[in-house]
Amino acid sequence: MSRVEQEQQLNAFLMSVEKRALRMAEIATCNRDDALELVQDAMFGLVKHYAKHEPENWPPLFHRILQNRIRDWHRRHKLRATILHWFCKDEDVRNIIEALPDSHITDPALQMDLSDAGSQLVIALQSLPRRQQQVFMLRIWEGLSVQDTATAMGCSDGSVKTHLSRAMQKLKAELEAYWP
Amino acid sequence: MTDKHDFESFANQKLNETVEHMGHTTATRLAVMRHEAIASTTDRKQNCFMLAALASAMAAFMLTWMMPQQNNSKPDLPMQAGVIEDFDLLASDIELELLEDVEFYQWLESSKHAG
Repeated sequence: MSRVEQEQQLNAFLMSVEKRALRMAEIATCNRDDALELVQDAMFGLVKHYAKHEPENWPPLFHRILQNRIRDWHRRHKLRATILHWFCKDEDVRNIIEALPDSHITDPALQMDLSDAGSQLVIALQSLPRRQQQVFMLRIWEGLSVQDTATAMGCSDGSVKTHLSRAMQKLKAELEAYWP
Repeated sequence: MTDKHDFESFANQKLNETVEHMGHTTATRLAVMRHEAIASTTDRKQNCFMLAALASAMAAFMLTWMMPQQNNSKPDLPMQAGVIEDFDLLASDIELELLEDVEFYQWLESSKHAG
């Protein structure tokens, strides 16, 4: 494959996944700027390390990078919260946390112009544990196979099935009124 | 269609709507990011090429600098000259017996002086 062909294939692949990837990152972080940064990191990571791999391997590799970045983002935030808790008074922490965007409130931009069902689905997804949210997004929305989802999440096929089953149960229960 | 598939298609449809409603600004930012990521491969290759060229130039410079040094330095030249003389003697037509005789007379002369 020539360099130009490879670049064209990479461009087509990234174009096909970028918007869904951004939504995944946005639902995971509740912050569009951070989500954009994570998607950008994933794009650069794929191009830098895996551009020479077969194009059919790109989807699980891209999502693996993205999910790792999202995991790191959560770790950083958790660490920041812990440090704040150690070094600041409770009142200071409360003030700082109040100043930050609420991680449990969906970004208004994400909900804009969406039907109630769409908004409720996004809120329900955000309330899921991270692994269940990941597996639902990758397996159901992105349409990855069980094996590719396991590769992207860095877990076994069995874990994928377990997390997915739990996620489906919760989502169905929460959105019972919205789907036929 | 089963409940499971109904729910999956419902969820997919709603999530796809969120993508369809993505603003132009965000879509443009994504496109810019994509192009930058792809361009980074070319930049990286160019950087590698520049690095290789620089390394080659340095190696060539070192070689050209080292070669005259090696030509000028001949620390074992006297020994090499002695070896060459020996080979010359061996290669010459003079017989070894005659050389031994000469060495004997030289020794005799020196022992007479000593005595």
